[in-house]
Amino acid sequence: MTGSYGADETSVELATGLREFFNEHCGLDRVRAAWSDGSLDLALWGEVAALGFTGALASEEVGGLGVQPEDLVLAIEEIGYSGASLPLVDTAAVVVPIIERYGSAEQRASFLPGLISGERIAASTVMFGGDRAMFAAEADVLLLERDDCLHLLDRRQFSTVEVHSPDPASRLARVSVESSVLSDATRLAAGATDDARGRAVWAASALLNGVSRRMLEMTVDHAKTREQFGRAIGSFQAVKHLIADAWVAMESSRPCAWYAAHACSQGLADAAAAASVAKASASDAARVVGDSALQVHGGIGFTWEHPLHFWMKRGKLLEHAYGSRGFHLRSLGAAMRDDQQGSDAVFPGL
Amino acid sequence: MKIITLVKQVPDTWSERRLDPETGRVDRAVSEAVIDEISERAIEAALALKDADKSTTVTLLTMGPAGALDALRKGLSMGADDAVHIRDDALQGADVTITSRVIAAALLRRPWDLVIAGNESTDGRGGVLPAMLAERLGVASATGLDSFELTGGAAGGDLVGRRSADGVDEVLRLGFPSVVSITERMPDARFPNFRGILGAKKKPVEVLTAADLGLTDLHPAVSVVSVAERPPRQAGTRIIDDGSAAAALADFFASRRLI
Amino acid sequence: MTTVLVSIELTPSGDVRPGLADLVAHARSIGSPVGVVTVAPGDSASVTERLGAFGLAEVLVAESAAVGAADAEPRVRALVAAAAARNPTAVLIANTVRGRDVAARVAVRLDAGLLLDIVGLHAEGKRVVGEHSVFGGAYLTASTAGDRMTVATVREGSTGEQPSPVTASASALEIDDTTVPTAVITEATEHARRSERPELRTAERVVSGGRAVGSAEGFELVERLADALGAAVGASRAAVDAGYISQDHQVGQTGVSVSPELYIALGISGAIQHRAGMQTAKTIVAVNKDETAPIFEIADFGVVGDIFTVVPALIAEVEARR
Repeated sequence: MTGSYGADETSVELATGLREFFNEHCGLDRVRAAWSDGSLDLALWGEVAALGFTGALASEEVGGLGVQPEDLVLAIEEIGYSGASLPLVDTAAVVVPIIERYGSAEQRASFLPGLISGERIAASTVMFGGDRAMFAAEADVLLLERDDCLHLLDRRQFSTVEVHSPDPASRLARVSVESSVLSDATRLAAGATDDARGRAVWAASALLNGVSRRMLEMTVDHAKTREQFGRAIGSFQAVKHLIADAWVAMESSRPCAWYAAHACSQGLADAAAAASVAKASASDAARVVGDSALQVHGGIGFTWEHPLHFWMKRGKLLEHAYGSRGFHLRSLGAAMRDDQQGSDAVFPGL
Repeated sequence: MKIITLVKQVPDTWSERRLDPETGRVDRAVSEAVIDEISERAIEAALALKDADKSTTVTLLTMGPAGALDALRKGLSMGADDAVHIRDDALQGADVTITSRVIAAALLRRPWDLVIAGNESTDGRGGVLPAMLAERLGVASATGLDSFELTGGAAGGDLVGRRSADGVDEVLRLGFPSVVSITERMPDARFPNFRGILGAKKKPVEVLTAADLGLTDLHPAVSVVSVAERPPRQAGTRIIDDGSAAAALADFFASRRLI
Repeated sequence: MTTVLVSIELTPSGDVRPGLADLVAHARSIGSPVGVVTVAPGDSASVTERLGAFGLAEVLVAESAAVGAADAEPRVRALVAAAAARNPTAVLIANTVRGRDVAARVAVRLDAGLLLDIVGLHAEGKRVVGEHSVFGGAYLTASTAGDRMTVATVREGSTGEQPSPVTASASALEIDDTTVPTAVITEATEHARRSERPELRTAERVVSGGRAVGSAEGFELVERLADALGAAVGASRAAVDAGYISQDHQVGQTGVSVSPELYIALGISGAIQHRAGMQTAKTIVAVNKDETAPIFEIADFGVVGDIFTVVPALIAEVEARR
């Protein structure tokens, strides 16, 4: 399941641990339940938090585990793969490390313990044009971007209105804040915005790659067992090629997410570009894999009776969330153009 | 309380298992090696005691090839403190007599109060190793326990276990040091958390050879004289019930003089 | 004729386990069986009488106050004393949880070779060779302890032979009371036999239910078919885990292995672990709604259908043809 690029023992072991947990605790029935009742599975959230996921990237000084971001990429893929509908990526990969790095002493003391232990859930709007966030209605803490600054708000300081989400188990909400709430006390230190965007983008890419991997696996299984004209459909060249192309798209995307996490954690000069490459290729792969999956399944999976549907819809949501393929390609193009003019703008397409 | 838990790596039972036609030993190349589920439960039983009394130490002990380190790592990531890996090419294919001598020798090297093992491995299924160890070490044993609890500590305390086997329910009481084996009715193993996974690599694993244990004259007591693979069963008649299946089944029973 | 010691396992109430017939039959194939039994002081005569029914003409009886209180040790001590007195070629012990404990300790104490879970026994010259059925009968292997004394655990139900009764004569066996540390049995209760159904391990016919049975109440259907056929009741691990029936009915890798004349699997998919416990049955019948269930790959007769319609009709057919 795991790639070999840069994936050292730690990242494989963390991913394997999480996969075994999800195999046992997040079967299809639980994935389906999250879709039908639309509420957050708090029991599952608590169990994953207890595994240490929410504090993985926080340092040991604040009660975290001090895992390097690139070592969490495969574990995040496993979340996408599992179908679990939990705001893990925002909390663990974005909000917790951003608070630790850019929060005031008061902010760190009042927010980090609850988020690391999993008692509190975080959402973020860093990439959503400022007002929409996944799981914002369920969140206790919100990381909100306003005027290129990041503000850290608790539940009393923001309100939410649900908006349509293509994936009913990953609910979307529009968040609103009274302007009087935003102050120096809520603002995070300079640099937080770019850093948070980079993190959100590589983490979403890894999550999406996990979704693609599950869709592709279901597709291969189906192609091996479904028979037409007395043969498994996977033995027909047209089907084989479709799946092979999807696999190539997915496998080329996976290392990009790893490199983006690595560049982000090391503060490399190409971190923003790497994040854009990661998300553009993850979105591209999800589209190719999703389309092939639907074809090979003969259209089943378009409706939710077939489990493929859950991953397809999540794929569609994540394909466009945190910047679509087009957005990130434009960012890359703009960065290349600006580079020649000596600018260091990050995500200039925003 | 110092606990030693015996761990075995076995071929995954979800895949096909084969015997080597020459040696009659389990062919370990054809299936993925995994930690035996019953070993995981034995580790869980030890860790539950550690949860209740933080001064408890849990040491894992396995005999197996280099790859068995993965089984130890799994147990260490669950929360065991350290591990002993008896690793020696000369022990490949050891029978239960040799295995019990080697493990008993390893147990004699360190102090302990309680050895916890699975009741039987999913590949060997012999179920005799724990009692053989107890006999070699001159201590009490209780095998096939579905649950147990401690009354008092290692000094002067007792272990009280329940077993339900072969049509009899029993309560067994024994002192320390002693050897117990547990069944799959004991609680499921915990999942290693991230902290455990990250910490497992830093925990000590002592690697021992037979020579380190002072054992040189290791001759199996039992040798395999023949191995025959039974031809796989063939599927017979299969019908789809259209209301007449019961009559067809009864005819089948009658044709085989089963009714 | 060489002597083969046969260890007798008594239940807490003093009954002889029926699997003794298999031990005696295997012992006969390589020598003359001599029973070894431990009883509470004063119980020698009553137990000897009952052992004749298993075809044991000679029995060594050790009386010990520790019987019923100390786990395994009295039986171990009696076998070691009997081995010293009679120099047997082999010591046979039932492959039960208690029997394995006894075998393990006896083998170490006598420095014997230990053969586990044998289904057959024969002599090759002076060697005793045990036969094993491995991985659910996928392999038959044979092993020997060579020149050493053989201690073997015997799979109950592995011969299916009915013993011819004889009159047993007993001689007393002295065992000393010096103690090694042992577990003490503080309570022992025999499972109540809920019916007159045959014992699962040794039954000639077994009807088993799986997850598809759906509930503990649904298991009555399995039991009714078992009663109509005079069969024992088994279950898959899934059914046991779901709480439909108690664990002592579990057939498979972690439960009981059975080799009956007829095995009927109702609503059992046939995972490899279940098959490992029943695929040596002579005739296998499966009823399952799922036509892709792996149980059909090994069934002599498979019905793709709902057990709740097929089984009641089958019970009626069986009763009508009786």
